[in-house]
Amino acid sequence: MSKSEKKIVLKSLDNEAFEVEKAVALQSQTIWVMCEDKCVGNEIPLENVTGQILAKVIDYCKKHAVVDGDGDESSEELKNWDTEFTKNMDQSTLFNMILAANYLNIKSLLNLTCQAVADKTKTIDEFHTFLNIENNFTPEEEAQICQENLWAFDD
Amino acid sequence: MTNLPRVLLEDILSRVPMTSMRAVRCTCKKWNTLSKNDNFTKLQFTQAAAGARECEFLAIVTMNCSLYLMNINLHGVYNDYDPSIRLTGTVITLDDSDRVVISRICHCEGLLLCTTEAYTSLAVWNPYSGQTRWIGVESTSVHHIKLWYSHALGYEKGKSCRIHKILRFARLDSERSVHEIYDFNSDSWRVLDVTPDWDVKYESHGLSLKGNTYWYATDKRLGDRFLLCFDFTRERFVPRLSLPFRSSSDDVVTLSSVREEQLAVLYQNCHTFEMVVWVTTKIDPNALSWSLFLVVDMRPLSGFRFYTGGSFLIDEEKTVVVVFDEDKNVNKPTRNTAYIIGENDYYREVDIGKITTGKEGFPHACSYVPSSVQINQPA
Repeated sequence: MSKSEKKIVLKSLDNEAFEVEKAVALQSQTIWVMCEDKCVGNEIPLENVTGQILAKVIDYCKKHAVVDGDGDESSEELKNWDTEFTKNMDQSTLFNMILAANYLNIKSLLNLTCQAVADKTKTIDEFHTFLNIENNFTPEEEAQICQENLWAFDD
Repeated sequence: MTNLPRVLLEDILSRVPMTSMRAVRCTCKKWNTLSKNDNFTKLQFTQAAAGARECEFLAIVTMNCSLYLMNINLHGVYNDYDPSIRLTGTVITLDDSDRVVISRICHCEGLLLCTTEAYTSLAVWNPYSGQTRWIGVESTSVHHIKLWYSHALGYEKGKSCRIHKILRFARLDSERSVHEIYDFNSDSWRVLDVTPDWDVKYESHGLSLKGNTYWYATDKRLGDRFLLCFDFTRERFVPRLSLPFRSSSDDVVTLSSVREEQLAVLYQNCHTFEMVVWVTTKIDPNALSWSLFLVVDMRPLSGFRFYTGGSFLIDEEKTVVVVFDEDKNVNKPTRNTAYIIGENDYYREVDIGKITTGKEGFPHACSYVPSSVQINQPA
């Protein structure tokens, strides 16, 4: 890769352009494949990701591009950064991050965001509201489930 | 429904902690079905294995006559920060019955056999799937009511599936004892014809591994100490297995397992307080070989002898053992404590809560890997 090709432009669904180091962008397998195939120029259109979400994804990739390879020493710091990164994201942002990580094929970001949703959802009510799911049990079925789960670990 | 594709939704659900699995099942029909699906549980166990690689694992601990789920994170051991033991769940019953008062547990690959103080019935529970089965304890001995039974949970390796069984035994007097076996398929207790020339102390917990159970035992006549194994497939005790050390009656010897594949034994000399841990490199009911895992002089560290009926967990990657016991104030302990001990005199004490009961008070831990294994129901 020559020096002139070190930077790359990512264009969001809403036409926002982000110039990033290639090393940062290539953490996305999807972008990596696009670059390998040379089917795109220096500007890559990402039709499924909004600028607001893409900015966050790039933040994540920048952090991980810098720290990765620095050895075990900073892995704890990186973990803390990850925790802070998802801590205050609301439900729709988290969902959009999951969809973006899935589309861009960034495994570690997908793991992180899926885990964040799993950690934020604990009670039955939270599952219903947070994941927009309706309770479709009849009272009899509910009693049956209760019978099947007579003992449980509860926090 | 949510706008996430099914595969992503499953990914999220597979990361939900075990304490929330009941909530998952009660959320909607689809999830209740999904949570019992093999592919889904496999995905979940992959996530758990990823955690284990990061020196994080689950333990089930009996303490104060109740059951607790704990998350043990040893990532910080030998690093700049401390390891942690986090309480993540407590057993509850959902039918508003009395609190579950558990005196002891036996663990066998994802299933727990719980004995209660009243000894009215035995409960077998899969904490992951939520499945339970109550087993009657009807007597086959006239002395039944006064007996202190020891229990073991194991399984027969059948052609197509495992047939779980329970062994219980007790001493009637210095000469006689009773051994009985309960078969999950036939739903009945049978007396086994066993005339033991050994003793297993009541406080000495058995350790189930690959369907069979092992105990630290003493020869009645000669006083020799050895490893006793009950083969649940053939329903008999196998010839004695040797331990990698010589011990006396006051020494501490406790058993544990590593990844549900190998047996580990902790030996602590009652005079020198030196602690030596061995792990098997090969184990089956007929043969075993040992490898030295860790040697630590405990005198300058904890300065006391661990409880003989205690328990410990092992992390191979870090070469660390976690011993569950009471605090160092041996005459009047008030706190349950986990001792994290490693190479180069690595030593940490982690408080795991107040002691609130006198009887069966010592905390007892077993390493736990969630499993979707089914409890056989009576045929």
